[in-house]
Amino acid sequence: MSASAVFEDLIGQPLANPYKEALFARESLLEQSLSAYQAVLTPNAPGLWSHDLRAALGFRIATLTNSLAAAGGIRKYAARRVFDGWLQNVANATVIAYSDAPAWLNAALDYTDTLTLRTHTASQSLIEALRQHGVSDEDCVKLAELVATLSYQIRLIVGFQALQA
Amino acid sequence: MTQETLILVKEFRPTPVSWRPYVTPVDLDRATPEQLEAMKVTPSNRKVSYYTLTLAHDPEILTVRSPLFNDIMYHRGGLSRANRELAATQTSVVNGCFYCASVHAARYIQLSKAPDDIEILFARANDQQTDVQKKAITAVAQQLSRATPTLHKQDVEALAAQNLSAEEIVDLIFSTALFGWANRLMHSLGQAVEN
Repeated sequence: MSASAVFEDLIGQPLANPYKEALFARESLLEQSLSAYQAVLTPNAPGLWSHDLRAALGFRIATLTNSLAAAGGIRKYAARRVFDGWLQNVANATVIAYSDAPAWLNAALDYTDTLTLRTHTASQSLIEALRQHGVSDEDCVKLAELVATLSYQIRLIVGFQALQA
Repeated sequence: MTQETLILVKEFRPTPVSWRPYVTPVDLDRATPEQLEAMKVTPSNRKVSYYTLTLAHDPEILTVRSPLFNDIMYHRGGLSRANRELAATQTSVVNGCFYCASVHAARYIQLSKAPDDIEILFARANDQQTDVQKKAITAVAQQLSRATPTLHKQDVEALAAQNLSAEEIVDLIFSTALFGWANRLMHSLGQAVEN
């Protein structure tokens, strides 16, 4: 299946020409964008952020940005779509922090929420909070990539959905 | 990393700035083969930025990200190079990324010879933009960069009304979305500092 066909599915509505032609002519960009989804949602080396946790954070980001309709890629490439136990609290964007969670996870939720919604306010304190709770520098970068890459993907789909017929 | 005195940059400006990470970047001499490959390090090319060394902590996505970034910003045809930089700068202003804004504003000025456009962006005074096509481009970049991104059919029609082709509009979406990614990395993993 071509990347264009996958994107057509993710966009979820028919595109108007000449936009459809223009978009599908950029097959290489679409292909690489799909690879990016996979690299952050189901990486070979997930570190502290398991595939399930990444999926839950993906749904959290989509909900926070009011972009669930543009979260087709998260649904398609996420390791899971239905969450149970504590992952429900991660996927549920109305839970800012929860008392039963380990401190590193609450620091990760704070980082995710701030970077998703209030990017301009991000500061060193967010990373320091993660480090103080035992998150390695490698895992800080992996979390940043997850949030940042999904922010790209959501905006891509929101933008493409406006090219509707 | 040697100790150095850092002077933070806390303003938007189109002049050169540097960037330093909050985390310890990968040590090039201890990098794994996968990290070296992701950074495109070769025996003859061992000059790697702090930014790339930082992102090398996650070589899997870096391997995808670097070529995608270059393809979106530099591929031939479609939106002009200058207008891709304009969208990148506008997005960086929305996201408060001083480093990205500086780099891409400078590139825009170099390509367009229109420093006034950047002054308008940095002053957040887009209403003062008299070029209707540039105004439409920055308006869409702003909308798509907000915390709750939006773009509607009528926004696309407004771009088309300003003589932007379908290819140009698609490229505008790509370059704006791309900086939603880049800004979140640059602005949360480190900070802009004086050279």
